Amino acid sequence: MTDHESHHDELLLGWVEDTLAPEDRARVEAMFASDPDLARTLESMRRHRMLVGRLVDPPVPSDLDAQVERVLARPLLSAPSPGQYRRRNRPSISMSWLRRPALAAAVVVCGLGLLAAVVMINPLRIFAPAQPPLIVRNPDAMDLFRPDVIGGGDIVGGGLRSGPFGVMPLAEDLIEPEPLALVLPLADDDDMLAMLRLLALRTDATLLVNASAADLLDPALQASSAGGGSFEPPLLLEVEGVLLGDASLVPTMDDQFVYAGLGAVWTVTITLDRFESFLQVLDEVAASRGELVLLDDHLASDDEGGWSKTIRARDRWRTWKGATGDTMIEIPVFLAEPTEAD
Amino acid sequence: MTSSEPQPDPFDSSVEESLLDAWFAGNKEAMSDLLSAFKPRIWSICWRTLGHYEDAADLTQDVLVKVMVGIEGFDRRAKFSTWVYRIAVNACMSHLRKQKLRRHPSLDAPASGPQEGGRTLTRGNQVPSREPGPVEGVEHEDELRALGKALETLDEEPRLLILLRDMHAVEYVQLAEIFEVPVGTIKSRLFRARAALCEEMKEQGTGER
Repeated sequence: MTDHESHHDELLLGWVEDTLAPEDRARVEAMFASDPDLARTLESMRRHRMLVGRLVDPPVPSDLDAQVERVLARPLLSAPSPGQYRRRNRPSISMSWLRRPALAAAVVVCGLGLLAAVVMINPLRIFAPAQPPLIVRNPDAMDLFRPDVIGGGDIVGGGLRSGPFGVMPLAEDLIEPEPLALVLPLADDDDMLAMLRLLALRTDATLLVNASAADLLDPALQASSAGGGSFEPPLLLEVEGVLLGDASLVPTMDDQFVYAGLGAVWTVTITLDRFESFLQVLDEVAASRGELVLLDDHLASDDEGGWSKTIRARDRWRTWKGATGDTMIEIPVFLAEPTEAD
Repeated sequence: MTSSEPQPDPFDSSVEESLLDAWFAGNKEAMSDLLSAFKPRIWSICWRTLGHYEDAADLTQDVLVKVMVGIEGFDRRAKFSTWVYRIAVNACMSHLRKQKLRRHPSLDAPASGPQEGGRTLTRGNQVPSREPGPVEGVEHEDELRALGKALETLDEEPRLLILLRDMHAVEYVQLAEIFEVPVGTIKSRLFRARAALCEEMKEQGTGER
């Protein structure tokens, strides 16, 4: 649009909104003589402006105050009540996990060729979908994170070996950054989801339902996963969807498949410049619930036997010195029985 | 000539400033008054932009929480109302972007709303009730309904521009800050938004009176 056109628009808008100086109003009205259509259009705009001002909205939802107060007053001291956070029109997350074995079987039966092609394209990052994730619904899952287990040689998420999660890619082949993991107690999905939503909301984090093995059936996702590469923006961001936050701040499909393969149900992403506040809110959650575990760098090979910690991961903060504030940190979220304490 | 003035903003900006002063001085109740004033406006923006009752309620809740959590960092360089509107607009735009990505059912299905008297309340079938003049009558209400539907067909930015300007009496300078463009650009976009609305009304056969 040229400056002239822009000025013309401003002039006409001024007439519609009756903000013109008398000489400018006269200029516009002089145009009406030669352009009756313009006159009619501008009169219509005036009328629409008046009518829009008279539109009436439905009443503010009556429970809104209570919802907000509940979130803010004692947001982390007790479990959210059922229905506190409205579930949107999407499939239940718990259902997706229940469906998973059947869908995984469908992948095996109907999509072996398809899967083989994907694996050939990207052999190290696509997990075997027929294997249900062991950590999910596994009451002993937290034992897998105990330092003595880790010290015994199984680095969670690393090493192409038969470990507690089945065959895994080698640590050096995994996509950076994958610094942290968050473990939530095995409990009602709504409860967990509400807590994660609150965590994401208060820290400007993005909360995503991970892609699952079943999603490999989707040709579009497959193309995204195979062709997008880990260093390019994901072509198709959503499977079940971003639940909260910025849709551009989500792991690539490759990452999501890896996380899902490890058994992570959701992934929280946070930028480095918000990470400190994320940890603070996480501390509040831990203080009130005593159940959350933030695992410090489960991919590190130099963990000195003490990488499994409750909540605080301040030492990871130091490792990102020099990185820009918009560096995206991906935190896969696991559900597990909270047997780990310190 | 028909008056083109929108409804005056019921919340004076000097009141807004004094409440903000009070809150920063430690008066916690001032926040409640501020939010009471802005809650209907945030709700209106979310509802008119999303057209889906539950999503709008969720988003309104999210925006209110963001305002309350973020106010301590509010540096007062902009008006409080500008800041709140900006949070609401960004939340709406972000929500709609995600909705498009995930092909949310509400894009393909009629907007859902609370049940009232056996009918579902949606933007399109609400009967506007703000001071319906005796002369305007049914025709006026039909035109309002048509206008509501026409607004729904606009892209989110032009729709938000018209709503903020005409329903909420937001000034050009504030709009420029909310959408992060110069005032001249806002005026130009607003005029084109009005033109698009006119076209849509014409297509519905209610454009010219």
